[in-house]
Amino acid sequence: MNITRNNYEEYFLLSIDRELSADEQEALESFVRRHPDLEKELDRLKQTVNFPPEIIFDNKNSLLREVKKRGFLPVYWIRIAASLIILLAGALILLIIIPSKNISHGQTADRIIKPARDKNQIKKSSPGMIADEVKNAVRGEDSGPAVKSDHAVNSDHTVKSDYVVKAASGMIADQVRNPATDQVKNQASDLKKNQVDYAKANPHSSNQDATQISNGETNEKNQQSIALGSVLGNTNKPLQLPDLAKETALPSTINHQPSTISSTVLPSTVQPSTVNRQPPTNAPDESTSILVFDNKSKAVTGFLRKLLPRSSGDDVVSGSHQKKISVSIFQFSMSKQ
Amino acid sequence: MTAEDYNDCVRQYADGLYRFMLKSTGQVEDARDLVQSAFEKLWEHRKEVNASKSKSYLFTIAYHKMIDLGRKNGRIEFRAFLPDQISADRGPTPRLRQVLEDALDRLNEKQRTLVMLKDYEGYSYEEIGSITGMNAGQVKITLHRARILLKQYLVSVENVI
Repeated sequence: MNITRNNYEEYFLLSIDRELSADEQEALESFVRRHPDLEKELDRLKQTVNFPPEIIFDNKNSLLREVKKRGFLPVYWIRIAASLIILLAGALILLIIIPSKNISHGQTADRIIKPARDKNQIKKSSPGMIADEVKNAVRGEDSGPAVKSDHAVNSDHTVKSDYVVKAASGMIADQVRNPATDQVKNQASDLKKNQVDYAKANPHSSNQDATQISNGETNEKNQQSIALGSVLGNTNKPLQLPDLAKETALPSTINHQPSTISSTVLPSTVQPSTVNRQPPTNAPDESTSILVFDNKSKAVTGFLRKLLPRSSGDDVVSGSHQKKISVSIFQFSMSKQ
Repeated sequence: MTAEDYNDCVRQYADGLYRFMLKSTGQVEDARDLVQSAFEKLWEHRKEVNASKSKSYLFTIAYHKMIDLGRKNGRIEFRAFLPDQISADRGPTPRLRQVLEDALDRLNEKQRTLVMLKDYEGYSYEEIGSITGMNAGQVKITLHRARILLKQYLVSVENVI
C-alpha cells in the first residue's frame, strides 16, 4: 500500500469506514505522522461518523413466537415404551394367572375324588375351625423332606379355597378304604352302622342325600369348637377316635359323605375320568392324624393327612418327589336323645 | 433457523432495524409497520434463512419495503423530524450531533441509507451492497461522496458559528 498526497483521501475514508486491515491502518497512521498538516482533515472526516441513537423498539414482544419445548423423548419412543409396558404387563398377568389355574386344576384332579358335602353343609359343621386346623396341620407337616414343594402350595390352596376344603373333606372315603388304615375303616363301619340306626330312629331328620350315611343335623348352637387337639403326625398310628360314642351310647353323626358330590360343585374343566386313584403300595405310610374334641358339643373333629404315591411303583422307589397329599376332614358329633 | 433463532433475532436486531427505519422514513408508524412486516417475512421463510444471515435478510427486506412504501405514497422525502427519544444519544456533544443530523438530512436517500447502514449497523461494503442491491464499488464511491458532503457541511457550520 502506497499512500501519497494524491490518494490519501481515499485511505482516510476507508479508515473511517473501518475497511482497512491492521497493517494498512498502521501505514496510514505512519503517513499522518509524517504529514501533520493532513491530520486535521482526518479529524474532520472522523466527525462525519454518526453514532447510533438510543432508539428502542417497544413492541418487541409482539414479534416473539412461541417455542415448542421438546419432550424428554420423542413421541414415537414414548409410544413404543407404552406398548412394551402393556405387553410386559399382559405377559406378567398370564404368568401369574395361568400357573395358579393349573395348580387349582391339578389339585382338583389329584385330590378331589368325591367331594362330600355341599357348601351349606360345610358351613354348618365347620364354623371356620376345621379350615384353620387343616391349614396349621398341613403347614406343620409339609416341612418334611418327603413332600414336594408344590404340595405345600396345594395345601395352602386347600385351606384358602372353600371348594377345595370340601373336596378335601371328601377324601375320608379313600382313607377309610385304604388297607393301611384298616382300623380306621373298621371304626368308620361301626359309625356307619350307628348312623343307619339313628336314621331309622329319626325319620324326620333332614335327609340331604339318598346315599348319605347320616342325616343327623348338626347342632350349630352346640358346635362351639373350643377344643383340644392331638397331633399324631409322622407316625403309622391309625386314627384314634375317642370312645365317646360307646360311652354315651349315643348315635354319632358323620357330617360328610363322599358320595354326596354335587355335579355343580365340580369345576367344568375337571372330569371324573381324570381322577387318578392310586392303589395302595408298600411305601411307608407317613400319614398324620389330628383330632379335635369339642367338650361342649361333644363333637370330635378329625383331620387325616396321608402321603400317597403319585404314579407307578418305580416312582415311589425313585424318590419322595412323586408323592401327593391326601387330606380328609371329618366330624363326629353326639347328642343326647 | 429455528423458532429460538428467530426469537434471538427479534431480541438482537429489532431495535437496530426500527432505528434504521425510523431514521430513514422519519415516521414512527411507518417504521413500526416496516419492522413488523420484515420480521413476519423472516418467520415465514425461517427454514430457508441461515441464522447467521438473518440480520442482513431483515435489513434487506425492510429496506425494499421502505422503498416500495415511499413509491406507493409518492414521497421519498425524509424529514428532519425525529422523536424526542433520539435526542438522548451518545457519542458527540449534543450540538455536534444536531449538526450531524442536519447534515445527514441533506443527503439523498441512497447516501443516507448507506451512511446509516455503515455507521449504525457496521455493515461492510459488500453487505451494504447486498442489502441495497448495489455492488461493493458503488457502495464505496457513494459512501465517500456522502462523507465529503458531510465534512463540507460540518466545516461550513463551524465557520458560521
